[in-house]
Amino acid sequence: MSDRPAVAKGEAATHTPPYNPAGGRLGMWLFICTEVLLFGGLFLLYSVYRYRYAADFHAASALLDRVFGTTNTIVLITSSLTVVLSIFEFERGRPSRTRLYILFTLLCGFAFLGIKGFEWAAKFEHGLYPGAAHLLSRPFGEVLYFGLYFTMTGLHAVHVIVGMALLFTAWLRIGSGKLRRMRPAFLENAGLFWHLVDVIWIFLFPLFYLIS
Amino acid sequence: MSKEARPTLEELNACDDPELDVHGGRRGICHPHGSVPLYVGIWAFLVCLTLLTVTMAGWKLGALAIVAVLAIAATKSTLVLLGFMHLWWEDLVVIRLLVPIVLVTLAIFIGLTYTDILYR
Repeated sequence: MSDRPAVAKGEAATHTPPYNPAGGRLGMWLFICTEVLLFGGLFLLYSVYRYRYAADFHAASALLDRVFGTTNTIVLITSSLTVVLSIFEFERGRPSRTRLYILFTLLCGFAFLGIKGFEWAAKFEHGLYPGAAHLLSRPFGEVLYFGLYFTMTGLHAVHVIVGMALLFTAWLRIGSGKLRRMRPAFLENAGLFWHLVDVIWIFLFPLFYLIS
Repeated sequence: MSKEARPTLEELNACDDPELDVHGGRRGICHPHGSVPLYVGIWAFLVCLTLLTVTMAGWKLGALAIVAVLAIAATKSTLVLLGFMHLWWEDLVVIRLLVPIVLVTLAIFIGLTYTDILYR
């Protein structure tokens, strides 16, 4: 103890502890696990009803447009790539490229939501929404299928919107100099969230679009 | 303060300290994980798997279809988790363990539910 240099008066007040983002990253991963359990419960519900009403589920799935679903899958995968590239460029000290990649990701997010909205609108037009008289006149398994379809893709769309808000915040904060290379946790954690949104869609897409 | 004292974005994002470890592991901040070819390669593979799963939906696989669909989805997720979410390079053992733990938990939920559904 005695061989330590004497601490100058007032130094304690200005001392900042060494930066360690591991805690924040662990917190983000814990949150991702809760999200997996949230969607896991819905997937369990889906699998039980699909087991009970296999024929109805297959018939209802034929009513979805595979081209839209496939396009949206490619759009989300591409946006995942641009997010990981934005983090890569950020950690190489290229904030302008980072912001371009984030902007492209946001465009992908808007494209995804646009296509999703278009699909939902078409389903509403055909009377295929929860509580619609036309849907209720169809077999019970199809009612369950569309209930799950709107719940799960709707909850997923909410996650897309949250992820876009986080990435837009990162874009603003990099531009104003508040988010910097030596403190990249916010961008990295926003990126983790975006990839989670991608992973959930990877399961949603085949289970709803490809079972007819 | 004069106007030229304000640092540019590039100056703000300089590598102040190559040895500073901001990942709670062995890597310094100035050496990001992965490379552009690696990430683009993963993306191309993910797109191929997507097209494969769409094509396979047209085949008559019967009961095997759901197994194939889930296997492809699991492969795609693994690629995203390891590559894009940087789990491959993760130094924190706790974080590496989290994904298997949550998957086992989910398997228990699903397994126990099915013991009820199938044998009621």
